[in-house]
Amino acid sequence: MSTATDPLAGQRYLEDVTVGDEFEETQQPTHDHVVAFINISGQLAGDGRFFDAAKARAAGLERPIVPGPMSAFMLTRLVTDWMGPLGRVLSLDVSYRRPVHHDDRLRCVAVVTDIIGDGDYQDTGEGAVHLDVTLENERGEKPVQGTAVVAMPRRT
Amino acid sequence: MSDDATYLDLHVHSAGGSDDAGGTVEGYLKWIAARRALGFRIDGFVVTEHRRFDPDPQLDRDYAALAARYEATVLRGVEVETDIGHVLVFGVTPEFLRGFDLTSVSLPHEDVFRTAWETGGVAVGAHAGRPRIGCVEHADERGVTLEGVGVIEALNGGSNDYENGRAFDLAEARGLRVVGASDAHFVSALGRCLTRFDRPVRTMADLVGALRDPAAAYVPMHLDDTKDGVAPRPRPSGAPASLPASSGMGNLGSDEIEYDRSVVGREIPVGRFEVTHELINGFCEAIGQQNPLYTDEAFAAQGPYGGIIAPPGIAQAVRMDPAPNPRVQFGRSPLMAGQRHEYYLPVRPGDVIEGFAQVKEVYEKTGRSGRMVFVLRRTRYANQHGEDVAAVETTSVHREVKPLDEEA
Repeated sequence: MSTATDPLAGQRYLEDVTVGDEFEETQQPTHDHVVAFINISGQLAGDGRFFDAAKARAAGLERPIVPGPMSAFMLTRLVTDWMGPLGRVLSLDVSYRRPVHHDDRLRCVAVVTDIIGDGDYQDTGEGAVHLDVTLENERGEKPVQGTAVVAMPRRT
Repeated sequence: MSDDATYLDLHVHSAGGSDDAGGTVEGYLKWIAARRALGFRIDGFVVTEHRRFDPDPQLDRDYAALAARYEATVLRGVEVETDIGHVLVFGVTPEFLRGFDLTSVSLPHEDVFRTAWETGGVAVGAHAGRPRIGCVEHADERGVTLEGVGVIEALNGGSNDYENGRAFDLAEARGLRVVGASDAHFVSALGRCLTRFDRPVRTMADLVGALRDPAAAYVPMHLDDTKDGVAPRPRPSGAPASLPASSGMGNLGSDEIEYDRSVVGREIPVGRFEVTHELINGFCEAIGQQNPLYTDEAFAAQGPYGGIIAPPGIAQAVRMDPAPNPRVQFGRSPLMAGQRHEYYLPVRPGDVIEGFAQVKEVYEKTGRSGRMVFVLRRTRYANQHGEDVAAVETTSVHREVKPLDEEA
């Protein structure tokens, strides 16, 4: 894909954001996605819980599971998609509360909970937007929950 | 709707007192203001940290002053851990505190319920329908009589419908009163479930008085149902659901665990890697990231960084040598319980990133799967100019797990 349109066309600014704003994406991580993740990270290549049904069951898991960091990065992706190229993720803080299984249908949901520094955040004119971020599965469980902080530019 | 009605969330954790929580008391209050603006009813909440209660009454005054600014009520109780699961205690007195070591993960429940009552307070079975840490399973499978238990939290914002349904079933079978609460650890979960009292409840004495009074009217409900004109939804069913057995695992929730204390606090280099386009593309593919800022040179050249940068997470995703190992003598191979990712500077193709790791802390808790030991590690990532670009703190949990195929 090399359509060099204006990268800032969809930029979101602090003035556009209100406490309570909610946004979401859907992800369904498959065996192939997990293997792709393990291949680039190499971190978990020896751990069958993440790709081998029998090894998962031996570890008390109904099905192979999605690595925690991969779930975290799905939430990071949700945030980067939303904030636009001028936004910066400052932190993401998550609890892995239940397993995420392969093929779970996941709602990645973020809610704006606070907007800090109307003007002078870190001398850059940016503001910090606080978000709650959650992965929710089709069983109504929230296996990954946490918070993210994003620096966003002002329009003026 | 009577104007005397009070909508209180009875079970909330804050970042100030529960290590697995991300919401602050003021953050929760701001959230209440934002929810009210949308027509929801919520009058306040009770901070119930895990296994700790600060006896200093100044804290109550601080919370009350903060709450007053938002025209809300903030009270304090505690969530303790007993031999029938977690229990909320309201009306905590110095006399109650003298009776128990709150940090214990297996307090005798009869003593907790009785002492709470005798010292003028009240104990409530928390998230009653959850495996191990709720009382339903102990009543159903171990025949615990629940003597002294009068109220349970049947509608819990962190439980699934099946777990909540089982709790309502137990309450009906045993004639117990029920309350609702969010069990919020994060701001936006506040009030997701709460309790409506048909009377003013502004102080801990009001709350304890209501929960001790057999004639008091109170019901659990969802925040969504507090809007004018919304019909309350039916209670969840406790009919067996098709949940994976491993749904019961997890949930952050303590005899001494052996481990190597000498590694704690010592930072060591754990390797380096070069950031390549292949690495970035592979990362984007795995998480479905399609933003051209990370993959399209022509597009990215027009962007704020003048070229491709790596998406947040690339440093934390790549394998390094093992971090120092405290060699915890407990349970099976660990799972991750939580992570904190921090980002300081952009990472570009061609950058060489070096990692430095240390063990920060080793500690214990209980959860759905029983006793757990946690190890907190921190790794920071520096670029070829010696600047820190990112960091990760990872909490891993060691548990005793049951293989699914050995039970047959």
